[in-house]
Amino acid sequence: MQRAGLLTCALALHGAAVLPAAAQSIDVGGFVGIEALRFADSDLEPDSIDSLTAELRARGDLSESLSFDLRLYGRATPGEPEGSYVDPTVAKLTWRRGPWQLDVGYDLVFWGVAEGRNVVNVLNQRDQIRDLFFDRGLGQSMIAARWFGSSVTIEAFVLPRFEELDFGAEGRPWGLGLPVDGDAATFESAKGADHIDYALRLSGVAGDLEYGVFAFDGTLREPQYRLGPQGQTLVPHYRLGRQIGAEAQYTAGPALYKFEGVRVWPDSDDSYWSTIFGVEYLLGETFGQPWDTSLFAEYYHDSRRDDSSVLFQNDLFLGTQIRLPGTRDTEFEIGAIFDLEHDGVIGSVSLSSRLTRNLRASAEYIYADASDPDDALFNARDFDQASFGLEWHF
Amino acid sequence: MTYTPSRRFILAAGIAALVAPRIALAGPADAMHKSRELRRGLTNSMADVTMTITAQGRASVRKMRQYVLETPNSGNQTINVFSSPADVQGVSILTHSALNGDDRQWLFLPSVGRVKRISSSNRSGAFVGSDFAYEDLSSLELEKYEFTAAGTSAVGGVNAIEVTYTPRYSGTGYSAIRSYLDPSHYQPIQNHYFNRRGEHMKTLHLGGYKSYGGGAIWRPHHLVMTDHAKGSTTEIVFSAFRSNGTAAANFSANRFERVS
Repeated sequence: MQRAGLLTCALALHGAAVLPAAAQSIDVGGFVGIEALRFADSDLEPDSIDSLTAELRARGDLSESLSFDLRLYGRATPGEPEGSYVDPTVAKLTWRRGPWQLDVGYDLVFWGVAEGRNVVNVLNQRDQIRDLFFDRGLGQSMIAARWFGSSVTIEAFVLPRFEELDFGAEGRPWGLGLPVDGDAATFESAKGADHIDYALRLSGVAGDLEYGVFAFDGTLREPQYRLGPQGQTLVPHYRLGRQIGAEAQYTAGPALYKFEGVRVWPDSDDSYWSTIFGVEYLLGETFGQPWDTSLFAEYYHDSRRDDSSVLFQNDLFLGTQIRLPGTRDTEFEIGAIFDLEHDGVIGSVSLSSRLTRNLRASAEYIYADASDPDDALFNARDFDQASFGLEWHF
Repeated sequence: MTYTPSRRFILAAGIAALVAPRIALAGPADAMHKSRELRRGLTNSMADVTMTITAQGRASVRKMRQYVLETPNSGNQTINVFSSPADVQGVSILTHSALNGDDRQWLFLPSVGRVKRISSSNRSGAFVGSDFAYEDLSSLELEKYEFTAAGTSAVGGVNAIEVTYTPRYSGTGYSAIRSYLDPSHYQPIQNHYFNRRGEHMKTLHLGGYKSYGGGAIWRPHHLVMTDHAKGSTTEIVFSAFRSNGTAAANFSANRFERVS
């Protein structure tokens, strides 16, 4: 509800800016779609979720130095009002002059170089209803000031409102062992979601090396879970803390070498660090076919080795992405994260392709398996799910 | 449309005045050097690109806006922003062509707000499903090729200058490329591409040449690439050509995503 309120304000702001007919050009696009999700374990309730999805994008210049950018994503799930939402993924005004840029509004900021997961991508809350593997982000309200040098960028962020993870209806399974009551979420900050967060980042390019370092102070995006009053639900708890992180990628011909690392100091807990070491390799041909194939291998480490609620403490991600030749932009992906300590595994197979000029179809199967109760994946062992989507783009 | 001649334009104009009446050539590298000089000079240009890929009787259209920045001591820098098909709207690719063929490329994915450095080693791979390979679209830098032969040949009613050259860079799909240059402006009107087995696999027809700067700078506005093995063709039409593109600073990894 709060998000919708802020959205209204953002739209009003855009409307006021556009009305003077100062716009030089406006690009409009988006899609409407349907999505069907099926859980393989028929004991789950609900065992299927069907949704309507839509996105509206608009972008244009208001003057030589002022522009606007709008991207609204919405999802309607009949019978699950908690899983229906509108997210202002991007709704901002941008002012640019020389090497300076100021963005005000909702924005989507991506940090990181790895493929399976990103430990340094800490600004935007994840949209886990849209994507269980956290590739998609929810819009984050911010004031961002940027200075662009020839090879270095310095960015400062003020983040006035925190976005919570969306868990949909209370009975929706998340592989955590108990249903999650997102509405009962608690905050370490007395200001709750209104606590103001801050971040600073420096990034750059030096030859074939890309790098970035950041510092963050505020509400940590990843919640901890506490038992609800009756012991029948889990309640997300968002802690305050500080963190610093670094990322680097070195490109050497067909190989990309990657690193992400973050050190976190929660205000009310022990500090920890998480790292990713990875390599991506581009094959020109596969089995003699002109497929564009990328291979991925990434190692995940987290210092909280004794905490069985933490995923990816000592894990290996192996995956491949194959882009088929032709005009349909067909992509096939398969990958899995293997727990090297407890033998658990979670992975996915996905396929997407353009059926007609405007219609794109996708399918994904996510599977998980674990036998060790000390494995954080143990509660997700029966979590297999299949999803199918159709999107009509305009 | 305003146009301010650059120093390179003035140099190219001088070369054009000197070489235009001549057809006889000292060597293949000279011909390609003159061809390159007569193509350069629009330091920062922009065009709308319509690419029609026809295969097995089915046509597919892609549209993009292309920005090109010429640099004095290295290869061209290019930003391609896709507008069609609609599901790739806003996706953009920044390419820094290198004199040794080791281009650097970045991809912007607006769906996740991510700029990603990508490997450009697959030079022989198809560009967005077309009959053009990435290496076909990389800027013509003389250092990337070894020029082996020159002569004359009748092509399309023109007594064209024929130049054969071999890529020096790794990962190429070609054993040789043969260009046929129109002697009136030294620009290619046909390119023949030979695969690693020496077979003539693709032909590129270049036409719709327009001159800028009083005949000192020539650019093709119509390209048709035919893949003889697959029987497919890709047509590229350049429109809305402008000699003032986007700010030079936007051709960098930290800023190209803002270009639309």
